[in-house]
Amino acid sequence: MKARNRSIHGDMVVVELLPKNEWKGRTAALCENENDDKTPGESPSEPMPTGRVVGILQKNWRDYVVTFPSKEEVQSQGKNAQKILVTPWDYRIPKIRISTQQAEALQDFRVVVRIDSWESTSVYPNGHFVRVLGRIRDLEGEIATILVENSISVAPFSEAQMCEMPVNTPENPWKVNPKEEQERIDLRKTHLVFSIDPKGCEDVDDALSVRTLINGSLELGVHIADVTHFVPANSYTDIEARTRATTYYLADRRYDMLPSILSADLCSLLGGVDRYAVSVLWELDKNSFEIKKVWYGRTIIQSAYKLYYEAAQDLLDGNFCVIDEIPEFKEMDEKSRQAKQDELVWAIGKLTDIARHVRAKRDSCGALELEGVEVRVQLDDKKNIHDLIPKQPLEVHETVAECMILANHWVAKKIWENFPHQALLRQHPPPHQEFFSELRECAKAKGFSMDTRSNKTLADSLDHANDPKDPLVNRILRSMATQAMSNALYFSTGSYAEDEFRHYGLALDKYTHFTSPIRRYADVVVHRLLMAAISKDNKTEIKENLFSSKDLEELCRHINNRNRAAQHAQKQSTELFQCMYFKDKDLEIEERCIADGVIYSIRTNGVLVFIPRFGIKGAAYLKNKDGLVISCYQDGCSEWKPGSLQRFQNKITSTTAGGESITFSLFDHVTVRISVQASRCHADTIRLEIISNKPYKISETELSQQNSLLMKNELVKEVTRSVEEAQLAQEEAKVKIIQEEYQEYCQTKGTSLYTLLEEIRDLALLDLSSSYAM
Amino acid sequence: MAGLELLSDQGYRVDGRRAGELRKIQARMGVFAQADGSAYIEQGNTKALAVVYGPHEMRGSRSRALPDRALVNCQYSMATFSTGERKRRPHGDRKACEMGLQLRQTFEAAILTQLYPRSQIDIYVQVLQADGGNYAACVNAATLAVLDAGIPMRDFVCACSAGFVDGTALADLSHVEEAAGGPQVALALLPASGQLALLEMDARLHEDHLQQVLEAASQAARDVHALLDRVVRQHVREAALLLGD
Repeated sequence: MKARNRSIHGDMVVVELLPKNEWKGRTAALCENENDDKTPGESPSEPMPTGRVVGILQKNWRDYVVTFPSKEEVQSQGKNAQKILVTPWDYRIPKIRISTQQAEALQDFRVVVRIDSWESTSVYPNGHFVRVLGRIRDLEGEIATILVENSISVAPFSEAQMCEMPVNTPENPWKVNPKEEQERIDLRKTHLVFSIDPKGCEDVDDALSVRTLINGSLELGVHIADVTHFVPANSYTDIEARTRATTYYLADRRYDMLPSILSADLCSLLGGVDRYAVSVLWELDKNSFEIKKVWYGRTIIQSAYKLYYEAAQDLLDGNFCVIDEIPEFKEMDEKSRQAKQDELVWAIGKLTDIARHVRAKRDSCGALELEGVEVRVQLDDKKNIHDLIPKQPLEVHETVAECMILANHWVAKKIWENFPHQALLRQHPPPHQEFFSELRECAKAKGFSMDTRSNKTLADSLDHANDPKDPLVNRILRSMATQAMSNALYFSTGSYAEDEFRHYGLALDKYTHFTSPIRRYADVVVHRLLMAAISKDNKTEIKENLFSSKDLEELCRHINNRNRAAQHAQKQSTELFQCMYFKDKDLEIEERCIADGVIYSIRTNGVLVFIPRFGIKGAAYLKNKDGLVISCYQDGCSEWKPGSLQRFQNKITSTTAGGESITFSLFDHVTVRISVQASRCHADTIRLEIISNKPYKISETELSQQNSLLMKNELVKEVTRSVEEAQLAQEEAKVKIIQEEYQEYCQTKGTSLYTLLEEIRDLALLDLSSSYAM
Repeated sequence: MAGLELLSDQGYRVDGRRAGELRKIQARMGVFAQADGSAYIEQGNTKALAVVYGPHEMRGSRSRALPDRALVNCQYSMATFSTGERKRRPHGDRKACEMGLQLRQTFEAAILTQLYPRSQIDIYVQVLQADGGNYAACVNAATLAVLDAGIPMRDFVCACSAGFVDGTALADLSHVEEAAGGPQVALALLPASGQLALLEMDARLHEDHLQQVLEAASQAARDVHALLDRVVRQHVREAALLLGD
């Protein structure tokens, strides 16, 4: 603490390195949280450069969510103490001293505070109370906590913004403007355009088309919703979207970047209606699929079919009974049905061929396929999670993704050519080799070698690292490779040299984001750049005011920051739902809490376990706080006994005083019980206990349906349902209390303390002189 | 100050009442023979006497007469012995003027003044013992007095005060509770329609609690109405008995 010298996580500081003999290392042990003192006697790893903070360049204080100390702790601080030390939700922030008289009333609430100052004489910073968020463990309160902690502000859209919005009601339907008809290319009659998205998707950003030209070549088209037409630069909507920078997806809800009239209706490329779009059309050779020409511009389209992935896959596979479920086909008569069906099937097939070819080319340059692809959440009308786009098991996923990547790549080239110093591109720098050390060790344990020198070699090694007996090994290795990756970032081309533009993961020399302007602000900026590039080509005046390189750099920093916040928030909300799910289950419904887990890392006092069924990663201790170690019997049950642990490269052995020993190696399957470690001031965490060293066998029927993301689905639904039930019960209780109190109103007749006291008072005023006279 | 709990843990107030309980109210009409209408009300320890003269010709400046309705003139005064410390100026001071004005506003809303153009109705209210809820007692007394005078009104005007302590709304505050410094709401209600004739508040109250306090005051005012109604019927019955056969 001392070495931090009153700086708080997030500040930009100046550090002075200590002399080498004072350097410390990180411990390799598991600990509950960072407040625990590291147990002495643990041999740390290699010493790392250590220093101390000598100055703060830039304070980055934000709003912090805190909890008041519980009643017992308040007692020790003195009754009616004006100054209270509150504990922040984030472990990395120190306790804050605030003055409040409401400490008692706010015992069970989470509140927001801000830091004012940190005196050099004080151990803790001073702050003040801002507002109350909600009760501890109340779902809405906890989600508000996650949003505040990630500085996400999602107020409803303002009146001024809503006035800017176009109107599309049954009384006043939106129509294509004749002026636009002249300026845009009309593809409504000439092209078969359709979109493929997850089932129940409302914001359709993109649509595809493919057709044969007169000269025999193929024309591939990618059409993206034209958001910049409805959102002029520097309008209220634009500024709000810039501040949000992205749509935020939490486990059970999403906060849109644009008002829903745009995101779900006028910008969304729904089926059967005219829409504005920005299109990229390539002319391909019909045999070799080589790209001969490319055209960019604004268009008007009418998407013929809004397909979902599974339906498109069925059509591709030749399974035509799904046609009956596609709404657009229901209204057709028999004759045209067959013709349309053939047309659609041909189109999907052609797209798939083109995509395969493009993908093969990228693979040969070293494209990586890792776990942790951008996941999108779709909600149904009850606000329950309807679907998550998983890693692509279906080929149509690949097809659509390839077309989008192609569009992004070509747009990147176009805007960079025209604006070499003001273009917004996306880079993925190659990872640092040091981060791969854990991956390499794990792979070696199973006998695979990982060549991490380039993206191609890494991709090949990952493809070969397959254990036929256990498919989880490859999955875990891929996920470890993902951890080692750097983050992909937006940047301004004016700030970097050309060879730094590369995207390592996709193996492309230039890349940007163009295909989702409804949910990403960077895409909106790229649209404007593209329009300006087209105007430049046509030698017409550039109407868009583009960002200068410096402004663009600032904007990219902001968007990257917001994306990071969005990812954290999503992760934290998933963990929140997991904890809420497991909390109620506890030990009653045994089977839900016990699962099969795979060990993927060894530490000095425990192991890290991955549970594929729920997609949870957590720590399991082999040596608990009392110094007892785990020991397992032949039939697989476990017990804690005194003993010791010995850690090796790829395994850890627990030996009891009685002489029995048990070894856990990397990639072993064990049975774990999942429980929740409740915490008052911080987020609840999942705790894993190894209860058996044998793998957990569950019945075949359950196994066949196991998909970790499906489980997440059910998990979220259950949690939301139980929360709703609890809320209903609370409201009923409130109503009952009100009814009881009502009966006490008005002058209570009969038994009442007040009437009793009044009677006594009347007695005191009685004239007793007459009785004395007697 | 420490030790004076306005609301105990069991829900009792200083005088043993519950949060929504009213004080004992006793009222009599027709106590002052010389006036057109009079009434005396005791609300707990607060005692108020109201006297009504009118409708009669405009006294003083004829020019102030309103051509289409009657002028309601209210005067509020506190007896010198009514409060703990002897009051030096019974009437004419700032507070009394304000109270008079409020009373006038309240009764202008309730009395059917259109029936008596170019005339004046005087309402004089005197507080004989002040133990909190002065305004409410005055309004209740004045209502009874106006009814005693036979002046037609739209509806009873019933008033009650309310406060807010420890998350609970208290109805009918006594002096001790008023002096504690918390928010006080004075509310005058026309019970049949539920319309407010006057609403006044001192001190600060968080808007989240306003609804609760208003509910408490309204309910208390309705209970007062039930009581006043009973008093009026009793009085009329007695008067009819005296007049009859």
